[in-house]
Amino acid sequence: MNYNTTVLLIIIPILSSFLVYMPVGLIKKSFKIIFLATILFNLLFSLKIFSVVLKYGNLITIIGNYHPPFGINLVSSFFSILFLIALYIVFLISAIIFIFKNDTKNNQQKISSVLLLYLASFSEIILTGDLFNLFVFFEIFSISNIIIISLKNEKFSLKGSIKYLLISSIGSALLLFAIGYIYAILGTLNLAEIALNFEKISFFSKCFIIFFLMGSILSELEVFPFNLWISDSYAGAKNFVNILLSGISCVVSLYIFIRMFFTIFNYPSISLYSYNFPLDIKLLLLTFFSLSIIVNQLVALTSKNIKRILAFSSAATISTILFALTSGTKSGFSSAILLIISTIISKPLLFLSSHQITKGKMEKNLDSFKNGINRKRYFSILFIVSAIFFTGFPLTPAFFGKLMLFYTYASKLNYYTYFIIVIIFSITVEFFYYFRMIHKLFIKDETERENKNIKNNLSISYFVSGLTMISILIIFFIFPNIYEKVITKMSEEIFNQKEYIQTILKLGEK
Amino acid sequence: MIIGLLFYGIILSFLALFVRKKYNFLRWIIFSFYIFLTLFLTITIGKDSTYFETFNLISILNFDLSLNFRITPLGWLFTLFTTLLLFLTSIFSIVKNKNEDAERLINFFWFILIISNTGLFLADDLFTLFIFWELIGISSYFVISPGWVSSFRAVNYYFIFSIICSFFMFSGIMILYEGTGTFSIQKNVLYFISLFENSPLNAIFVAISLIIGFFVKSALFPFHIWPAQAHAKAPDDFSSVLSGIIIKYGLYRTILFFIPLFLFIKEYPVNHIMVNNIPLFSHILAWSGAITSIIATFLAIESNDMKKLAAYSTVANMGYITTALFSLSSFGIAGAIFHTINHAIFKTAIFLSIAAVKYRTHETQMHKLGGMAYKMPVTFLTFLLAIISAAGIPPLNGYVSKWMIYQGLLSSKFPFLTLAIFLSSTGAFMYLFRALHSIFLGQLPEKFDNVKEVPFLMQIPMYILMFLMVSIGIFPQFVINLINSVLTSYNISNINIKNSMIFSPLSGIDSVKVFLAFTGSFILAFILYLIGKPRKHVQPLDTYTAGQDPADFNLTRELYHFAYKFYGPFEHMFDSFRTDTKEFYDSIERKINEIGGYFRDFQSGSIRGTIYTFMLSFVLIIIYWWLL
Repeated sequence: MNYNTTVLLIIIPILSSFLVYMPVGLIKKSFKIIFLATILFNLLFSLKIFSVVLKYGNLITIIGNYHPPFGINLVSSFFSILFLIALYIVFLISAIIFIFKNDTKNNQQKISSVLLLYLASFSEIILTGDLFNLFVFFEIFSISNIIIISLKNEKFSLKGSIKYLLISSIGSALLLFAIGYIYAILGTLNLAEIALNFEKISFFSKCFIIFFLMGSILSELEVFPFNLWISDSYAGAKNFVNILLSGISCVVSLYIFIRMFFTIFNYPSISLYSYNFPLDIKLLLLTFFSLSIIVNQLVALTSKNIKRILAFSSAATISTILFALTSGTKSGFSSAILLIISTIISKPLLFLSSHQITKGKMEKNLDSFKNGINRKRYFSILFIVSAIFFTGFPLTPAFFGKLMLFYTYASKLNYYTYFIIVIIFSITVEFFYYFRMIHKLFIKDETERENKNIKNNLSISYFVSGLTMISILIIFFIFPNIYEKVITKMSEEIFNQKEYIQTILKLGEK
Repeated sequence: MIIGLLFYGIILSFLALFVRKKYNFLRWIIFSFYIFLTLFLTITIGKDSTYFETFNLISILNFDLSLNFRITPLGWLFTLFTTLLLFLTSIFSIVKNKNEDAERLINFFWFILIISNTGLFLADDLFTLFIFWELIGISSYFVISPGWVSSFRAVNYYFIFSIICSFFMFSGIMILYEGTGTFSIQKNVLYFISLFENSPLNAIFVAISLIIGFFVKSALFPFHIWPAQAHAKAPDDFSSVLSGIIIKYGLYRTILFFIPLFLFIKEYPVNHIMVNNIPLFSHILAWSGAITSIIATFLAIESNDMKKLAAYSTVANMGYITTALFSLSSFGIAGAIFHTINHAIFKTAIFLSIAAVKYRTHETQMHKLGGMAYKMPVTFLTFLLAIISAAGIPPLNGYVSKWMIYQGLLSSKFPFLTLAIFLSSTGAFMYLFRALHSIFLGQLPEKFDNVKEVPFLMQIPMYILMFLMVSIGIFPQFVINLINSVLTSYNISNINIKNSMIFSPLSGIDSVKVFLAFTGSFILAFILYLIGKPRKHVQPLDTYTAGQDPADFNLTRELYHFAYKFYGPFEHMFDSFRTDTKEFYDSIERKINEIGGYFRDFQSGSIRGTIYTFMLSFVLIIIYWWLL
């Protein structure tokens, strides 16, 4: 296999995104096939790359024969390619729902073009080894996010997307600022080379870079004071968009966070200390993320709209993952990975099933869940199972994740142990509102019997995608050994910054 | 074998889900059968402490997360009596749940609960213990409130308390794990003891995190309100399980951890504060038990709902058990374990008879009932024996264990604790008699004239419970010998028992002689009754109206039934001491909701506000960094 074919993962979606948009009669008829075929190609090809990575280690793609640290290069490591596969699966499910839906028929061609751009952009973000490239595709990513949020022509969705537009543009400005600064002092934009030289730069520059890079992804990470867009965006967006936002958008930004903090800054052994500004970055981040966890959980607790509850619960989970990552230890990292696994699968399923349960109701609030178990038995069961998986039923990935999180912070009594109370609070609140929703499903609704005539047809696309995700969940439940190896390998890779630098820059020496 | 049992339980629970509503008795028969199987296996395995099983699950970063099971004398004893009582309750449930709504859901989660019950008591490591602990919390949520609006608030008290306590416990476990590198209970307990010598701060953190769980699960003050909520609103047959068994889990874990610790400190009291020859911490716990029992007794006297009354009685009993346990004498510990078993038996009897009354009358308010004794004789007899046992009157089982508790407390010189227990024990007479009077004696309301005794299948567990109460009361040696093996495993001196004669440091009783004396006096009274003058059955209304027609006075039987505000004057005495603990928790909930509501409105604010917030918070972070 040619090492440089990895780039097809990005090029083919971009090409077909333009192709799909063309107003030619033939394409108008067959754009669905092109759309799905592209996604399938990406999924299958990434699996192929994964097998190669397993055999030979990291794959480095060099574009235009400019060896790193010059030019654009893609790095497909075990960590990144596995992330990509998981995201492709979620994307495929969401795409199937989108394609077989009736109410988006008019502009389906245009939207599928946007979705393909979205696919290309997050593939590039995850694979890239170059900071500027990351910035460019991050922009495309945010723009496609804005478009798909505003698809539903409602007050909410427009408001949400404008909020997102403004926040993400400020974020990109901060990112660009940081990139400019890095280029000014280090003269390179290659991630490996930045990582190599990061320790040598001055204290002030380090802090400057960290704050600005962090500030740029905070809005995508749904951390509290920066997440004011999610309230309207999630509630106003279409169902497949909710799946994309909760299953992909925040996970991609989590990936960026991990790459920046662990690969570039070498966070576990970062030393940010000077006599003038003794910065305890761990404490700063912990305070920040704890606040975010508390606020997001409280909003989820008091909201009535189903989509809002799920959105804020997802935001709280992302903050919990960040909280785990902040420890900078292997156990914290593995906890984060386990929670990410649980989020990627069960959150989209929660959105999907809740959408089906509340279908046909005027207001999508808690009361529309009543009697769900009799109205929509299949989706209610999906909802219950995914909620239980998400909250951390014993022996699920989320349970092990929380176990590792407790180990990370509670095993040694120190200043940071007090933050474990935040996690206990968060878990309690989360259990409360998820179980309240499940409880609503079993409540018998007396008024329901009158309008029994509503058609209760089961849409095949929802059925199949729900079945796929639930079977993945159950496989994870029955065979926990699957993620056992994954975690070990991922943490080995992430905590070995030197190897990452070596594999990339050695190529440049030749 | 244990893992197989748990595994088949899960399969059966799913199978039972698919039984059609028409044949739902089949579902409950599968359920009973499984519990019987568990009981059978528990007895056949025996209390052989060498039995051991491991199931490898997963290991993350050298974390060995495997399920280990071992049979210890304590775990075996708890498994035996809980499974026996669950089996009796399940027989009751077959008929009871015939027309119950949501019985499918109740069955499924109850199944999970029973599986976890076995797993919890036989767990050999803390990880396994925690898993089953969580499972019990989650599954009992849906048994208490299977889509019922009425019990939703009640279940949340229980659920939130239990989640908080289980995760506090978990953080304690993690500190222990850091020291030992294993989850094994034995090693961790030893490490826990040594931690008190080496790093007291860590040890106190662990102790507090574990004791919070104990306080919550055992409903000690200030968490004493959840049983009255949850037990009262749960399905009637499940209330007996909640009250008899689920409330004991915290106790089990405490015996595992704290008894070895306190006994060690008692023996080597260097660098520790000792009060009355026991550690200060243990003393405080003993007093918290006593306070709980007094508070719960007063609350039980006040309550008018019969299930609430029984729930508060449970809390009071947990108070006695706690006090006895932390008096740390061998008689106290044995008495506590014995009373745990006895309480489970008579409380199951009380709740089942209440469930039987409710099954026929659909009424829980006591003042609306009355005169059920003639209509439901078996239920009446069960209830009568159960409250005699609960009040600690010989010759039933409650007497023996309460006697042991008093002996334990007095022999280790705790006069005030004994007084407190005695006070609440006297209170128990008041509320239990009131329940007996209001439900079974007095006037039968006219609408219940056609009430019949419950079906025979529901009577069977009642007969067995009556038999158990009487036989343990007469021959306590069978249970005490089992408890002695538990005491031996903790290196505590055994209870001196010869046949039915128990010797305490202060005195001794022979329960057979006590039984004979009581039976003799009953027979004497019966003979007097037989040889007395010929009798005529007089209706109470006849005497009330002095021979005139009651209809002239508009007098109905309900009016004559004196049950509402039974202890009104007595309650009035304590008006100025009354505080509402429930209101306290409700106010916390309201405040959390208020804060959440503020943030919710803030989140869906205007677009301009969003931008300002973003910029401002970014600047604030940087300022925060400067100030730090």
